[in-house]
Amino acid sequence: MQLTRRLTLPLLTVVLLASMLLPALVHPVLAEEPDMIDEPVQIDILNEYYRQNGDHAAVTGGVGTQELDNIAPMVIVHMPLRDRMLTVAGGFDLYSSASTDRIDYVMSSASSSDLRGHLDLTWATNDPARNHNWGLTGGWSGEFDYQSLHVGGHYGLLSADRNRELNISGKFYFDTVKLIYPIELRSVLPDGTSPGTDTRTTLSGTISWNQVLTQRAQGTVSVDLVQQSGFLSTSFHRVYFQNVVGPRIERLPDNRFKYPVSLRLNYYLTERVIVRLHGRAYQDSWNVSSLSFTAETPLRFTPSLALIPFYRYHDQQQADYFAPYRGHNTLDEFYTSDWDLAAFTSQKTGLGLRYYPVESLFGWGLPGISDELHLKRIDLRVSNYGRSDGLTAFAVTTGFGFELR
Amino acid sequence: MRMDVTRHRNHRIPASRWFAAAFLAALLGLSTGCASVKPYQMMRLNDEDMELNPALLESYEDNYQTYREGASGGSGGKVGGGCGCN
Repeated sequence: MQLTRRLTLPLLTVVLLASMLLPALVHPVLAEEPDMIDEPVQIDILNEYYRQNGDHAAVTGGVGTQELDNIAPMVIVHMPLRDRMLTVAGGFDLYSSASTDRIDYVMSSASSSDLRGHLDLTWATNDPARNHNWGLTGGWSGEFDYQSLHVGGHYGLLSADRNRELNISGKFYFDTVKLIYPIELRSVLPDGTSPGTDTRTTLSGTISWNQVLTQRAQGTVSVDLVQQSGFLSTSFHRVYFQNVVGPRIERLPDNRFKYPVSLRLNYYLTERVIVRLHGRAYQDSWNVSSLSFTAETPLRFTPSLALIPFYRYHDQQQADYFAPYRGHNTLDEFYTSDWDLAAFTSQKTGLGLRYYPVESLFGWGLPGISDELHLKRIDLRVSNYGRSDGLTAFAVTTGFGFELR
Repeated sequence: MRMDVTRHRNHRIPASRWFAAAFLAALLGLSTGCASVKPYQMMRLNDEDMELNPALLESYEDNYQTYREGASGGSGGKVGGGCGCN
C-alpha cells in the first residue's frame, strides 16, 4: 500500500507525458539522409577546487571536524564522426580529509587522503536535422575502497514543429565496496556481516518533456526513478548510542527507492538578461524529502562576455534512521549519524563569468597534427555554500573550451 | 539518568507534496494549447542561455551537493559511475 502511494505521482506523470506525446507521434519523422557535417573536435578542460569545514563528521559519530580539500580536473573530448558523436570524458578527484584520517586515529595516515579516477564513453547520434536521437554510454570510476561500472542509454523524440521533445534515459551501476571498519571494531563482526567486500546496484531512469511555451519561454518537466539495493551503508562511519560507551558501525537498509521531480523554466527577458529557474522536489523510501529552488540570471554585457549570478535554496527533511551523536537507542534496527541524511536547510550563492569570443582567442599547432588547437571559451564559477548545521564550503570551478581545426 | 535526546522528527507535510501540486498544475498547463512557435520565430529560444539542460560548468560544480545532501540521486553527478556516497 505504501509503495503504491509512493508510485502514484511518478506513474501519473508518465501517463500525462505519454498523452502529450501522442500528437507529436502523428507527425512523420524526417526521412531524407543528413548532410555530412564537418565539425571540429571539441575539447573541454575543467577543474574544480573545493574546500569545506564543519563539525559533524560521520566517521567520528556525528561530531568532529569535516575539514576537506578536493581538486578535481577533468577532460572531455567530443569527436564528431559523420552523423555520430563519440565523447570521451575522464578525470580524477584528489582529496584530503581530516575526518577519514580518523578511521584509524593515526593522524596523517594513508586514510587522510584518497584518489578517485573516472572514465566515461558515450556514442550518440549527432544530427540536428533528424527528429530523433539516441545514444549509449558506459563508464568506470574507482578509488581505494570503491569500484563502479555503469552502462546506459538514451532516446529522444522531437516533434516536427520542434516545439516539444520527449527524452528517456536509463543507467545501471554495479559497484563493489571494500569494507573498511574503524580500527577499534576490526576484530568484531557486527550484525553477522563479514569483512572483505560487498556490492551495490543502482538502476536509474529519467523521463523528461521539453515544451516551447512562447517565443520567449520554454520549460521542461522531468521525473527520475532510482532503485538502489545492496550495501548502502558506509563501513567506516561510527554511530554512538545512549548509555553505551563504544560505537557501532553505521547500519542502513539494503534497499532505497528515490523519485525526484524537476521543473525548469527559462525566460528571455531582454537581449542582455535571461532568467533561468529550477525547482526540484525529492522523496525516497528512507523518508528523506526535500525541496530545492535555483535562480540564475545571465547578464550579457557583450555577445562574448557575461556575468552569471546564481542562488540556490535547499530544504531537506531527515531520514527515518538518522539521529545525532548519542541519539540512537540500542534497540534501533537501522542507525546513522551521517548529517548528510539529517534535516537542514542550505543556501548557495555565487557568480559565474563567461567569455566566448566570436573568433578564437589564439591558436597553436600541435606536433604531428596538421590542425591547430584554438581556445574558444573561458568559464569561471565561484560559489559559497552553507548548511544550517554549520557545514560551510567554497568552490572555484574553471572551464576552457578548445577546438581542433 | 537516561539521556533524553530529542530527535528532530519532521511532522510537517513533506516538501515534495507541496511541490507536487505546483508541478501537476504546471504539467497540465504545459499540456494544454501552448502556442506553436514557427522555426523562424525561434531565434530567442535557440539562444545558448535558453538551453534547458544545465551548463557544463554548472553540472560539474553541483557534484559536491550530490555528496553533501542525502536528497540526491537520479540525474546529475559526475560521469564515471556511482560513488560511495548516499
